[in-house]
Amino acid sequence: MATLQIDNIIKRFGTVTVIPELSLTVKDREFCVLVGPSGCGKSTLLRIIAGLEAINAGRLLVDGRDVSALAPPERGIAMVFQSYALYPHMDVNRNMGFGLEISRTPRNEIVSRVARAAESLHLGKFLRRRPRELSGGQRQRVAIGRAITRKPTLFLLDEPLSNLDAALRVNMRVEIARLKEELNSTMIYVTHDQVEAMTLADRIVVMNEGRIEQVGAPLELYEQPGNRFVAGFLGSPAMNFLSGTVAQVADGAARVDLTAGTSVMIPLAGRVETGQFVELGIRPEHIKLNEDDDGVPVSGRAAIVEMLGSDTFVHVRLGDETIVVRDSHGRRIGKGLDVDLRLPVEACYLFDQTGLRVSRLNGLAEAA
Amino acid sequence: MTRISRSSAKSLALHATLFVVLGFWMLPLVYMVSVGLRSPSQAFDPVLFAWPVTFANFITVIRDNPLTGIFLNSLIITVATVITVVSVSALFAFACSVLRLRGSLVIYATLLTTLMVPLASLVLPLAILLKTFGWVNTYWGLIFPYSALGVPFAIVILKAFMDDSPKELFDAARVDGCSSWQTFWHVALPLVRPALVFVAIWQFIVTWNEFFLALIVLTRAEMKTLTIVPMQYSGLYMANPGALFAILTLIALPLIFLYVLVQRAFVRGLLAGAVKG
Ligand SMILES: Nc1ncnc2c1ncn2[C@@H]1O[C@H](COP(=O)(O)OP(=O)(O)OP(=O)(O)O)[C@@H](O)[C@H]1O
Ligand SMILES: [Mg+2]
Repeated sequence: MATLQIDNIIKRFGTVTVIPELSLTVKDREFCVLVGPSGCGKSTLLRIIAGLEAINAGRLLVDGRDVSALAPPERGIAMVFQSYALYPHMDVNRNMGFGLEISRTPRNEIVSRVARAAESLHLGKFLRRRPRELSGGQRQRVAIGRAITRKPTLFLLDEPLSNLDAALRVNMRVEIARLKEELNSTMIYVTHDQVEAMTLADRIVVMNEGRIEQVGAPLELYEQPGNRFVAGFLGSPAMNFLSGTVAQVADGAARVDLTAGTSVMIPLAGRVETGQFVELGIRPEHIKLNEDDDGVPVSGRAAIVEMLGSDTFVHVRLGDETIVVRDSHGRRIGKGLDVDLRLPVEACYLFDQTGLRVSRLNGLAEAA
Repeated sequence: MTRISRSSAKSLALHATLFVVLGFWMLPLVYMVSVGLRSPSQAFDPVLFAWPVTFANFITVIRDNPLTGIFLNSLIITVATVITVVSVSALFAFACSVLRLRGSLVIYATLLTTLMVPLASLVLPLAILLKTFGWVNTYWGLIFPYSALGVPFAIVILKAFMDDSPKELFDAARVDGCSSWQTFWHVALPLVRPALVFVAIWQFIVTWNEFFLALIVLTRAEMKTLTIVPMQYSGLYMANPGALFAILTLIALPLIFLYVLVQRAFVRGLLAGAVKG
């Protein structure tokens, strides 16, 4: 139950500026997911919110109260660390109750809160064990349990599932989704995982080099990426980009000549100039493979074929460029064969030379 | 050969070798006890055991010296030194490695250099210093110098252990609301416990056996520590070797008991840095 307002903060380590200037508001009870490439400052931002790192400029407000100078517990936050950071010499029970113990919560209150957390996380049987006697998933749950016993208003999680194997990760993802409903506190969640980000988030914040590239609901970011970075970052496999130049600008449309050989007529609302360098973006699932359909025809050679069972990813060479096509029809596609592709015009995004998306007419982004 | 019998043959060979090595290693100790049990006429007989065995030497040294008082002196000085060294070095290592207090690394580097100064070169300045302070023939006169000399080594060990512990644990403690003191007490100390045990035992042995400084600082008979007692039996002509070795045996006993009690923890402390996890 807290609104977090990050106000023009700057963070430097020595002479290196890790966060140049960043503002963000996280609404009450929102589940906000931070994503971005490795080293972009997600953990640093989380540690700043927690009060583990001092900031060089700016303010942090929780419910309108400036907490920049407060110690971590006074901010009403709890944090789940990537490595879990369980105290190895304490049993599960004490690990979960330690924060309460330090804040001199009455004994019976500690016992009842730990018991409730243990029950909700299915840890009842393990209360007397040390962390080293637990499996990875159990440790993970203890780490979450430790955070929820403190009834935080702001719940910070730094890649909490990244040390788990794939199956366990799916389970824990569901657990976290359930927790999100139960706890009704504001949550900020850092992850590398697209699926976690898309399924858990109320809002996703895409970061790059310490800056925020775009903020929005998961599907909003997926369908209406503001720039090439966001378009390329969300989605797996990533969006394909084909370079080209604007050959002709007509009323409400532009013809783009692709380096790969064809030209595409795209209805545009935004402005482009003739001769301008642009990139055409299209997601792997929108490309039609060997189908007679509308759309711009291109042909190439299947260089790599990845069959996952449910989907097949075909990497197709088009001149110097490679695009990935996702086929869900379960067809066998031979490696090295020539394939025909259709690029549906309404699924094409156009990015100018600075990487910004040029808004268009009748595109997917506009329809959403 | 089956795997089990091969591995037991291997372990037999290993143990046999270790026993031989141990036998050689123990020779001086066995000889010490043996000479302590001889009469003066047999004292220099070139045999490991001489008959008949006599306890006269032990009776002499126990009768001639107020051993209880001397033992207590040794114990008080040693225990006080161990406590001082462990607490000071643990706090310093924490300040240096976890809190990263400004200037602590400079102090650390400075302390390291003192490891290279030989005790002999410190004795004269120390003697003058102690005399000025009026600490000659006091416990403090030994506890302070011993602690000062022991702290740098202990800091090296403890700081290495704290540097190796996961930093996120200390962050977690801060998020849990611990003050620096609470982090130190509840998180840092338990994490480096094997190292603490090692440092404490090491310091105990070094202090208990120290002779040179004790000889200079303690001149009054009732202040003497155990290590000084054998001096009176060695003398220029080795007047009473039996008594000398009897007292040496008596001095070694408490250490041997201590070691037997804590050897598991001691070995774990030695190995903890080497094998992780
Ligand atoms: N204590 C520090 N001193 C100096 N530089 C640091 C420190 N901590 C982080 N950095 C730098 O700040 C940048 C951001 O680090 P951060 O850990 O926030 O990245 P991240 O987005 O969490 O990456 P990952 O996804 O790999 O966890 C990195 O370039 C890192 O090298
Ligand atoms: Mg990180």
